[in-house]
Amino acid sequence: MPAAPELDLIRGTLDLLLLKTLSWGPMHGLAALQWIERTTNQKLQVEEGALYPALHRLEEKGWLDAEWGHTDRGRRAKFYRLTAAGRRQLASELSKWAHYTEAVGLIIAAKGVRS
Amino acid sequence: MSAVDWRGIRRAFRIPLGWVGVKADVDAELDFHIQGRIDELMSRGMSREDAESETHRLFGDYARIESEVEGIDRKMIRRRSLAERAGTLWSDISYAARTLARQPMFAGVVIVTLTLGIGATSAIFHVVDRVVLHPLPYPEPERVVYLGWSWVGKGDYAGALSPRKFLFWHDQSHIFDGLAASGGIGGTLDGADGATVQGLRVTEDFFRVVRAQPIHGRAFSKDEFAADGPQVAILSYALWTTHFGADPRVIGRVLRLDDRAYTIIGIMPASFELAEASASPVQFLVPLRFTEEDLADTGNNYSVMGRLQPGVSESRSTQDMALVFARYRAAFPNLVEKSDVGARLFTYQSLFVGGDQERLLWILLAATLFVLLLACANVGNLMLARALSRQREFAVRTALGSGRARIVRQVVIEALLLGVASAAIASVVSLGAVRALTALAHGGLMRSTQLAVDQRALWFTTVIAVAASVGIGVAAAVPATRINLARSLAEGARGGSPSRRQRGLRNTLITTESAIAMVLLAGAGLLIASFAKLRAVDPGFARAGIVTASIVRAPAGYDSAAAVIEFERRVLERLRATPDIASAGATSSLPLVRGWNTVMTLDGNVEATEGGLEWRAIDAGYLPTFGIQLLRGRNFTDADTRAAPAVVIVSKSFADRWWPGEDPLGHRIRIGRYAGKAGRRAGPGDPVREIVGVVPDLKDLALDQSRPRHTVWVPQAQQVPPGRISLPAFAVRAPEARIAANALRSAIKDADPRIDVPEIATMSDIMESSASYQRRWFTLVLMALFAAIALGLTSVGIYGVVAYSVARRVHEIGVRMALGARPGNVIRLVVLQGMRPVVVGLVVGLAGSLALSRALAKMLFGVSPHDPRTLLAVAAVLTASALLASYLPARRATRGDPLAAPRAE
Repeated sequence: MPAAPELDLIRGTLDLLLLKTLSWGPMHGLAALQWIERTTNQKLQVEEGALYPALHRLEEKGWLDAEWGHTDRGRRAKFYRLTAAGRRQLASELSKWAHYTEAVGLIIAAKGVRS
Repeated sequence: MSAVDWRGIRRAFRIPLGWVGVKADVDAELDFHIQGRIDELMSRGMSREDAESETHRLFGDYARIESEVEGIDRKMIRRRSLAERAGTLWSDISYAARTLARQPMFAGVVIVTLTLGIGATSAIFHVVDRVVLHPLPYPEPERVVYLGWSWVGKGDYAGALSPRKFLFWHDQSHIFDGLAASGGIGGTLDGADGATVQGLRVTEDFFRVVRAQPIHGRAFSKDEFAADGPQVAILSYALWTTHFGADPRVIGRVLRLDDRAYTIIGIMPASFELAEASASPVQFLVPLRFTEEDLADTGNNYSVMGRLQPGVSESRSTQDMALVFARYRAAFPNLVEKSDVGARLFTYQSLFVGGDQERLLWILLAATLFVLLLACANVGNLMLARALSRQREFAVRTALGSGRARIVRQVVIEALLLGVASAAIASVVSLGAVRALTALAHGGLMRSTQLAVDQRALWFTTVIAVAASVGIGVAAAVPATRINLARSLAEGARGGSPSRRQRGLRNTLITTESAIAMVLLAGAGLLIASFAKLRAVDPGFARAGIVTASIVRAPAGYDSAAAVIEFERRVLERLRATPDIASAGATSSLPLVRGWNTVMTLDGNVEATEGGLEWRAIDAGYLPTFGIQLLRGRNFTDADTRAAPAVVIVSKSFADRWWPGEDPLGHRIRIGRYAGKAGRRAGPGDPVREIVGVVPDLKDLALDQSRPRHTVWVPQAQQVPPGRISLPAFAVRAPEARIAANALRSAIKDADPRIDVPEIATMSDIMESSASYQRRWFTLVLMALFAAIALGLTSVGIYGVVAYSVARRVHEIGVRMALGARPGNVIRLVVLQGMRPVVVGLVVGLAGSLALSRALAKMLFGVSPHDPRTLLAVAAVLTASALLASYLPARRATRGDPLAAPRAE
């Protein structure tokens, strides 16, 4: 995947969003997507093409565990579950994100340049 | 993929996901997503068609996403299965290590046994590699060749060329990328406590041939090879560091050797060395220039080394040699003998190692492989016994789902651990062994710099260790895991009695071991017998009580025969005046040390010539000192001076060749290095000599000399030597070696105080350091050592097998004895059963040694390779030790309470 800067940001953010979403419990990919869309009132459109590569990459890193199971309606789906390592990763991403938004917030809130 | 939950099943049983599964898995997941989306959109009121197209728009490029996800999964699977495998391997290894650590005795015995086998094989391989396979220390060694001169008929050659020939081939031959001649030069270093140093005179191409250049300064320039060129020298790295403090400013300074002065112009790198093992390390290089006198000398005395151009085939080089020889013959017709074949290319091995030594090394390597095989057999037997005693453990593991392959793997890993430990110890031990070997071979085998551990030797050790371990592990594990599950579990901890198949395996083992031991013992026995014969050889001259002195380096001033003879007269005069010295003599060459070659012509018959004659100059005291009796005529006397009529004493075979059935006394011959047709004689000739005496044929070149060499003896005072004139060696007979040595030292010192220390050796020393003796001694010691190890290993093997079978039959033996069998009967029964495979092995080994000892034939002397006495003696030794090895456990079985075992049931 080409590494355009804004894409990286989005991808990194997507990882964080997925880890956070799955921290509520095992979900299949579509459910995670719908949950994000619902929670943000459709404001955040996750690019579907990036969703599955992200999930599988997180699984490869050992942050997610995947298992086939059945949906409420009895259909077979692949469910992702946060692993212990994934939980630790989520915590560190969250604190990084907090620092990031705080720093960006400071700049945005700044009133002019004092010399 | 269908709806069956394969992934779950795989997971439960830890089966890795196959490649095919990945794609289906990804497709199923993505399909679910797309279906879910479509359903969702339709539930919001879209038509199916719109929902489908909207879903696909949202999803994007399906094929790209699918392949990306698939790639990620594959990577993951690969990594996980690797980690899983590494994990089980690691747990197997640590399990094996723990198991072995619980049985240190077993592990120790195995490691010692394997170290013996691997160490011996590695040590001999190291020597074979450095002497036969990779002897040359130069880059691209396969292109380096040596040039020598060969003659027809005798299969004879000189490993060197004359200056004239060298120059001719250097200029005319087109197959070389550099052809260099070299000759030794020695001297005493001024200002360094008179240290003696060895140098090499080299021609211009030398640096091209060895592919080495000075690290400081420069190589010789063209004008430095001119006859009136400046005297310059290049130092070896060692001489530079030891005598010049590794100071680069030494360049331009003067190196003083005796009365010569050289300007130092360069330093060779530390890695530079010459290949020849016998040469003492070269400490400096000087240009080799040929004088007019050198060019007139037809003696082949200069070592010639060339680097072939890349891609020169053997046929092309042969053609080139023949072509250049034809031109040489045309250019110098009077320098070519009828028997000359021309220059010939030699490899380092063929010239300096020799077929015999090469064969000998291969034989020794084969012997060590046999020893290794024995070590493996013993260890295999131990491992098998151990594996059998663990059959219950194996059965339990099998019952728990461990496959047979997994258990075999476990045993192989144990064997590998032991093998690797042994190899590590063996690499260290074998280096010491190689050092001992080189010492045993008196340095004639390898250069000391070749002693270091090297990659090839390490590879060899690793490969044989791994091969041996895997072989042992598989051989032990496969029969032990041929398990009848129910039976093994039911029989409990006692373990079953050995099955017929297992007993057959053990017997085969003993048969093989005995056969191998028989072959090695036969080889060693034959060598010992030859050695005894060699020691008993009557060379025709006395050895007892004779002490000799050789002068290694003549001081300046001894370049005329008169000076040499005057010196000799003074020494002998003093020696003969010494009380206790029974007899003293002087000679140009001591027996078994070296000889001079010459040619002769019958006086009055220029067609009757003979080459390859041995030439000796002796004084009147020589023959009596060595106890050589004249068959006819008279010995030389002090009256046979230069002014007196020229005389010669000849050997019996020479006399018989030219005057069969006639009295040779009074016949006249002409000796000389420039023989040929009378008109072509050049240079200083030898006078016509009258034969005044005949002596028996001596074995004075080598004790195992097969045919007598025709020899002529001339009085020292009348000598015209075939080479440069040199100081004679002295020999005295005295009741005590110490007295003789002192007398020799002081007589030589008195005669010329400049000669510091002559080399003193008794004739026994000389005999024992002679090549024929040394080579056999070397082989004998090693073969005897290997045979002893083989005998030991075989005995231990027999002991182990008999002890094992006795232990398994303790019950049966107890019952027999309780029923009244006498200990003797039981012992006989056990010993006989133990001996049966040994006897089979003896017969096989005897056949084997009859077939194989032919390889040894060249090393034997006075003994047939099929010598029945030796073979019988060897078989007796083996039988005796096998009897002892099976008697000991048998006797132990009959000791103690016969009913203890049955009662325990």
